[in-house]
Amino acid sequence: MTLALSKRNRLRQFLVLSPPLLWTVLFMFAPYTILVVYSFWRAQFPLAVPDFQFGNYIEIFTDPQYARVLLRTAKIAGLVSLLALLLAFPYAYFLAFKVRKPGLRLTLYMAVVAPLWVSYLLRAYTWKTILGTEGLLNSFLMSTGILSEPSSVFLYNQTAMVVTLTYVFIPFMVMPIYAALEKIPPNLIEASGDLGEGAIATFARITVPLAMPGIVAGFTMTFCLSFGDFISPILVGGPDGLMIANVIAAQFGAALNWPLGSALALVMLVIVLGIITASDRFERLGQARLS
Amino acid sequence: MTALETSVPAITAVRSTSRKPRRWGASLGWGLAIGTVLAFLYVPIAVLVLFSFNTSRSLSWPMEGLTLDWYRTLAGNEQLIEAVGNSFYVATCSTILTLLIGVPAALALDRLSFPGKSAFRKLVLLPIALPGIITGISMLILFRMVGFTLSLETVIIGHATALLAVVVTQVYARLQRLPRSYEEASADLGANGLQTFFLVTLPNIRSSVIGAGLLSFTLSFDEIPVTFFLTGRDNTLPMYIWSTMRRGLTPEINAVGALIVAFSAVLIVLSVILMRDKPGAR
Amino acid sequence: MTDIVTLNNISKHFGPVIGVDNVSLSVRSGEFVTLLGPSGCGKSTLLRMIGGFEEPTQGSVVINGDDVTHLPPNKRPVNIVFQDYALFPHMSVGKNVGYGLRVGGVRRTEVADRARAALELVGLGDRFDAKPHQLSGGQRQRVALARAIVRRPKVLLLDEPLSALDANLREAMQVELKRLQRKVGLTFIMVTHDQTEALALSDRVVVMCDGRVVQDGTPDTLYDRPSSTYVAGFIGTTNLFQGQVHGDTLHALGQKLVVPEGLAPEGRTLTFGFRPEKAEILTAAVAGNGTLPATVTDILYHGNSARIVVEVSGSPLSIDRTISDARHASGLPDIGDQVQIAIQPDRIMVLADEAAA
Ligand SMILES: Nc1ncnc2c1ncn2[C@@H]1O[C@H](COP(=O)(O)OP(=O)(O)OP(=O)(O)O)[C@@H](O)[C@H]1O
Ligand SMILES: [Mg+2]
Repeated sequence: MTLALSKRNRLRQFLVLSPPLLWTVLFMFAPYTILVVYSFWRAQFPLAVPDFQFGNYIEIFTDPQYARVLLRTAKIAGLVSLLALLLAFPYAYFLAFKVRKPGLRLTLYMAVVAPLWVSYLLRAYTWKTILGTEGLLNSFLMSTGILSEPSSVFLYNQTAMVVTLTYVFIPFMVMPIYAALEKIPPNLIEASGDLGEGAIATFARITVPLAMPGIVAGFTMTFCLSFGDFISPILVGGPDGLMIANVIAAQFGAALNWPLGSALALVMLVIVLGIITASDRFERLGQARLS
Repeated sequence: MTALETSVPAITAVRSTSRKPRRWGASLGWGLAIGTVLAFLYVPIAVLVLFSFNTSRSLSWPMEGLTLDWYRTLAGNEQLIEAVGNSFYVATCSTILTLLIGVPAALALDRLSFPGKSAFRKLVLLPIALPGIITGISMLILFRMVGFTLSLETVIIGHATALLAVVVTQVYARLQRLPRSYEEASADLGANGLQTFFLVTLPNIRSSVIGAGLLSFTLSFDEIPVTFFLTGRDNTLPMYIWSTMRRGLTPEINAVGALIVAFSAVLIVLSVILMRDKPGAR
Repeated sequence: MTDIVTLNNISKHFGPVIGVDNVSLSVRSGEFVTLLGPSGCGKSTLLRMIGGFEEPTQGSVVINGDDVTHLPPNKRPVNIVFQDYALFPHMSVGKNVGYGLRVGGVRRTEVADRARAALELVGLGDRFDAKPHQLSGGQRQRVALARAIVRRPKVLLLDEPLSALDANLREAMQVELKRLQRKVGLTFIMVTHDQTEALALSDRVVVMCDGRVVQDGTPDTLYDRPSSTYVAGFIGTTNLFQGQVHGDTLHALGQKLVVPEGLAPEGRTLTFGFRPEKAEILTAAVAGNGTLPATVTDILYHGNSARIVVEVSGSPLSIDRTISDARHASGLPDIGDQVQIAIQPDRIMVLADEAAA
């Protein structure tokens, strides 16, 4: 709608636009900019002094411990996304193609989405109570006689992290995959069947390519969310499961090196934005190919 | 970046899939797969709730007996009650604030064209995929620089900013499905911009605004990464739970958890009821 | 009569796309004017500029003597009926109709009364409390009309108001529209791409093509004296052929036809045409001066008339014939028959043409 651009309308536009614009400039643009500026400062008691030097970045790229943490974080986030995909895809597929009653479909869909409304912290916490030395899993295994004494292998390691994060973020995988599958007309799949293709061929040649945008979106979302998490590592991760967000948080807490923390946060930001951009590209590419 | 649109499950009516003779193996396989996911999702929540009634302090199997003691302890825990109050305050204020900014932002993105629009869109939607910790620390540095003392109010600003993307995506999606001709007809019939917004646009995007508001409220109520960096002396509920958790596990936390689960369930039901579009509304 | 709407050389560009190209148009008070043309020719854009939904790139819009070019829709004394009706789904029918009065600050009781009166005018007085989704397509159409006229605008704009209706309903609504226009004495400017609708309803038809007005005249003029093959082709069916005039003879289709003297410039090859009902088929072989020998190739039966397709020196021509009696008594020729065709000389049209230009 290009409404007549009289002065009056400009004024109205201005009134609609100015609160969100002001807010985004003040509380989004300004902080992100300051974050960038801060990453070039120097840590000095009590906090930091203005400077322009690459010391923080040099430290990040030369000290192998940061590379290790980043790699570990990426590995865990990747495993989480993979596990979530393995669980979510059949579920979404079942919803989209096997459930015939709309009521049941809605219920099963809501069943996956609903946990998002339940406190994230508590959902992570409950895994700690399940996996702990005195936790449910151990006591259960002992009461059935499988274990004779409590094992500590379940908690405080990367597996616990992957399980917990998968649990927390799986809805973000189901939603986009279901949305993509739901758009595939069932007759397309039937048509492929009519052409004499087997179920597996149909699946590989029609269903998966058409679901790809959803899979990519879900993977991106799950990966980015896991990548930036710093609650689960503390609850179930242990020293072996510390992730990049914990290192950043530590710089703003005990280590008290805000400039280094800012630089680390920017590295994380660049990685996350890179992944989002790549997945956007992919999605647009897919759309262009489909149309 | 539409993954957060939890409110509008795209459930179509009847899809005609041709009926094929059922095979036992296939049914069993599907049942197993779906059952695994559902169990994975709900057993932990059930455990959380169940152990809030456990007589013993330890959270191990088998449960020793049932009691409401932990709930009684909660009722007497002043710190906890204060944290709950703080959380309500923060969630309410940040929801109102984020709606006041987010709805005009969605309108501007959908209905207006202005220079810098695509940069504005990117900036507004950024927090949806951005780890909360980045929003948290960047605002922390800002507040520190301008000399704000950290308080619940700084938390509110942080939450409103982080949740803006949620409101904008949901309202924007609804606006896109709203024919422009409604607003044009309203203007044609003599209504000015404000009248058109309140009499025509808002009633038609009502469900998405309510949905976004409810979701913002829960997300804010539950928020940790931003709160962690921006709160002063006062604790919100999740921050309080977080600090007790780090001291040790008690069924008291389970009791809080069970209450939160119940509260969330109420909100979910509420949102499903409120957001059901009225018949005829497209 | 005075001009109620005047468009002075208005154009609308959408980036590189030219929606409307330098159109000037005057509409007199009380007139029923139709904008007719194929999809994408700029009819809606023109109408939307009158309504205030688009700002012209060039030119001015004058309504009732005031230059409103830069005024928003709510400041113009016109109302529009949208193609999709745009009834507010969250309001009852009565609230929809009263909306324009309510936002205009009319008292509550008066709003309801006038809304009810407007609904009665369109025959829906009893559906005041219904919701739009409970109405049929035709009823919604009437509500949209009532809503648009309740504020007594100077001009009513209608963007393809009948296109969403099925054929029967559309005809009934055409009658209704015409009746309503007479009754309220409003100026109507309607957009359509249906030529029968345009001819049936309008006092004047404006034919558009690629954002420009190609002809502007009464339905008769347009039908009998189309200015170009484009208009002739768009309105009704026309048989077109090339020919040259020498004195009172038209050399065309390998024959000589007698035509009124001075029909067209001497000796130039031009496009000529005639309407299917302006020619006769003579079954008896009465070859005479000015008749064309033809072979019947097709017969399309339409109930009270039939279209007979014949071939004259390799060109297909259509000829309509009314049937007053039963089919077999009507004396229709059979396919393959050799016949003679007589075109009424004064019904031959000369089409000033792009081909000639
Ligand atoms: N908002 C717009 N942005 C860009 N181009 C537009 C816009 N509105 C119309 N156009 C273009 O202007 C031209 C005229 O459009 P218009 O809608 O006036 O056609 P129309 O005659 O009403 O066609 P139809 O019968 O299909 O409704 C078209 O080429 C169209 O693509
Ligand atoms: Mg149109």
